[in-house]
Amino acid sequence: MQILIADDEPLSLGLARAALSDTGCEVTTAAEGDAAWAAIESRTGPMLVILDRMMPGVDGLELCRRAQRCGAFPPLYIVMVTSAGEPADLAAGLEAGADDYIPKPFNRAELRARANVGLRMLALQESLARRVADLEEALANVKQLRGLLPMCSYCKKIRVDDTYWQQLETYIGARSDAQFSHGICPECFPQVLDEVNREDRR
Amino acid sequence: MVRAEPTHMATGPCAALLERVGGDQQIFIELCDVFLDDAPKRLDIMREALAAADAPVLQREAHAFKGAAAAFDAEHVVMIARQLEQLAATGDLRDAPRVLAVLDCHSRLLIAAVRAGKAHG
Repeated sequence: MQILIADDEPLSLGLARAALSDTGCEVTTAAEGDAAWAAIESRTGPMLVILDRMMPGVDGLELCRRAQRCGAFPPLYIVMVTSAGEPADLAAGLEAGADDYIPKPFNRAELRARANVGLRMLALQESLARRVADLEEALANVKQLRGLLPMCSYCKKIRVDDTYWQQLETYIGARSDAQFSHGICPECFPQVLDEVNREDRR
Repeated sequence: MVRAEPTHMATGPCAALLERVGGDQQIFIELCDVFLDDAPKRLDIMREALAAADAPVLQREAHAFKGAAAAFDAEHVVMIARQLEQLAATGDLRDAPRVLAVLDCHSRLLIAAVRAGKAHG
């Protein structure tokens, strides 16, 4: 998992980097908006972004809007850094697409806790995306059997069209990945044995 | 990693920063150095922006300076930087020289306090 810290103010950037350096994630930094966008665009996996609202170049709000437009994969989780006591900034950030916010000045423990929430969300999204992909792949490989099947009550053949009847195992085999072995069940066994013996006596 | 109780190791603005980094002396000193290096440059940029009547740059730099000062709980500096940021946001810079002068004065005090706090830390 990757973490990007985008802030043009080096003290806040250093504080954030110190807070997140031991998360086990790859941490990169950007001191202006264009570099931050380049890093977001070229992400190769889930990315947590600690994003200052006001930066040279593209500002934090515009970065959120761009991220919203460019799609959700690989997953992105944006924590907007806003100035304390400026609720308009906070609302604008969340409206633009940020997932969370943290007011400046923040402390290390607080940022770490919020980052952990983001990392958990990213892990969950990644896991769900992987599960969906697996299911889609499985679904593509499964031939579906559904609907009302007209079946002969005596010989158990299935009617394929108005004139053609097919053995049950042939019908199912052609429409699924099922394969059939051929044994004799205990109930049928005496009857089959009788028939075989009769044939032998002839 | 050297750790210390913030209240025993620093006072004033440095105590606030030390608390923010959880008492980690090494990071505290690194961040003090970052501030001591960056703050004078940012004040210079604000003076240049004002001379060039460049309100967007003045607004952005005042905003960033405010964020750095907030890490030290330097309320006066934060308040004055916010005032300058808001003035620049309106584009009307007539009062900006006076506000920048006050910011400059308070910032010098903050820089001196951080330098002293770092030395004692």
